[in-house]
Amino acid sequence: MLKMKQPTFYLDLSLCTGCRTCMIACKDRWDLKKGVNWRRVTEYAGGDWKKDGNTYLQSVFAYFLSISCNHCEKPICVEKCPTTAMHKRDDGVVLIDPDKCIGCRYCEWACPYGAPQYDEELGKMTKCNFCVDYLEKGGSPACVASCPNRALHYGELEDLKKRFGGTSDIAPLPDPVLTLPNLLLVPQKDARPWDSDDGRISNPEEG
Amino acid sequence: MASSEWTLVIFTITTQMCAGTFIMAKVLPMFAGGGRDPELTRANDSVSLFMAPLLVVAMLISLLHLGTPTNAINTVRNIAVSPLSWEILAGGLFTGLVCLLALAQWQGIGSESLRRGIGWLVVLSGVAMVVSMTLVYTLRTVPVWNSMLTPIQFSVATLLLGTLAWSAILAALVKKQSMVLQRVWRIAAVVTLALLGVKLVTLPIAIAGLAVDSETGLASVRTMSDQLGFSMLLKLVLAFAGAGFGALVLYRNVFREEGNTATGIYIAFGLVLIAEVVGRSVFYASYVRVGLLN
Repeated sequence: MLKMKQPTFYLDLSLCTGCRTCMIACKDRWDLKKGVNWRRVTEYAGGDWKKDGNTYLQSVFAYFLSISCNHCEKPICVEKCPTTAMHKRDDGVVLIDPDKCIGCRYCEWACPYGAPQYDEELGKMTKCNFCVDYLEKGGSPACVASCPNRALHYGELEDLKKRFGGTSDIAPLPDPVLTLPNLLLVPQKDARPWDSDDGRISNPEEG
Repeated sequence: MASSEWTLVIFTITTQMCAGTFIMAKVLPMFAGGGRDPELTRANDSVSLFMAPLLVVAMLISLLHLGTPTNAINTVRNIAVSPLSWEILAGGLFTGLVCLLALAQWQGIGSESLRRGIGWLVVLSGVAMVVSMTLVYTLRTVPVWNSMLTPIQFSVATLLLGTLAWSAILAALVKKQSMVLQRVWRIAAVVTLALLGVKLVTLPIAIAGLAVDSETGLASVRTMSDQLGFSMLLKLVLAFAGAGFGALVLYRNVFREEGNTATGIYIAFGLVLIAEVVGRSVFYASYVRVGLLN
């Protein structure tokens, strides 16, 4: 069990370049199979060019979000899981007990962040576990340690809020009210609120 | 999603049909009035013999949906809050009671009152199963399922398939018409038409509501019209034809006369069953979740 009350990921969107090193570090650390991605990088882009007299003005924007599991305060996956395989520990980390999981994929249907990932070979659900084994030894999650731009951090939720502020109300993430994600994002200058329709996910094939 | 969810299509349609059959077998004769009809009673007593094997097969097919069915014993652990745990418990109870009733009917175990009592427990557990199935799909992150579409489609499927399946069983087993039976057929005809009417009126309203409620809801509606338009049309045509024809055959009384009219109710049931299978496939294929993609 961790000594933290609620470990939380913190991402500075103005520093994230979408390089996906965090995603690769996670896949390498946990030997994840093709198609199983505990951390996913989404590009959100929009805007247009508009004629203005003799010239054109542009409002084009794009930014990246690196999202894994937000170990939510109101995790819909835990609520819906029929076996209690999906559970939230006292230290706030949401984990899957593989001895109970039946691989029904109900949590996958429910989670608006795409966190639960089905492993076809195992026949069970898997997801980001915050690298609790590293944290228990005083280390960092593989994704945080690997970020070349130092955009991705982690820490105690309340501590991060006091130091950096941040929000989870950023498009294309869903309404935070749905699951109360423990995720802090520092918006970049073009960041849109969750219910904006100014942009679209540019890499839907990656998920 | 439609092709990968065929196990759930078969499971939900079969179990809902079985629940509806028992509901109609108990409820419709109550409105027929008059005395008890021995032919009707004998046919009703045989319903469990038809339904028990179907339910057992449906439950086994549902296990194919699981990645690790050997852990299935854990599925009722989250009975406090998970609708899926409720569905599994209610479904298991329903199947167990139907098998018990079938065994009792077949072997003549217990008194008639006891078997009737078990019959009512079967109805109650069937209703509980359909209600919990509806709650499984009312996910706050999936607007198309978290709408009136789910309870309408599930309840109409249950009662419409139940009415026609029960009518088909009666048509197969009843040898002699009676006034009570004629009244029962006519009530079944009215119920069939009423359910068709509910479907035709409420579904477009529910879909229109979905389109204005949210972007994600609209995405589901677009999926239904762009990619699933033919399936939706097919479902509508088959449901209309099957239920309409079924109501006509029932109203004009199904009785065994060289099997002609009985064949009519089998055809009606078959058309509606195909319509519901197509409709359920559309239901699963219209899944669009809020937030990030997988």
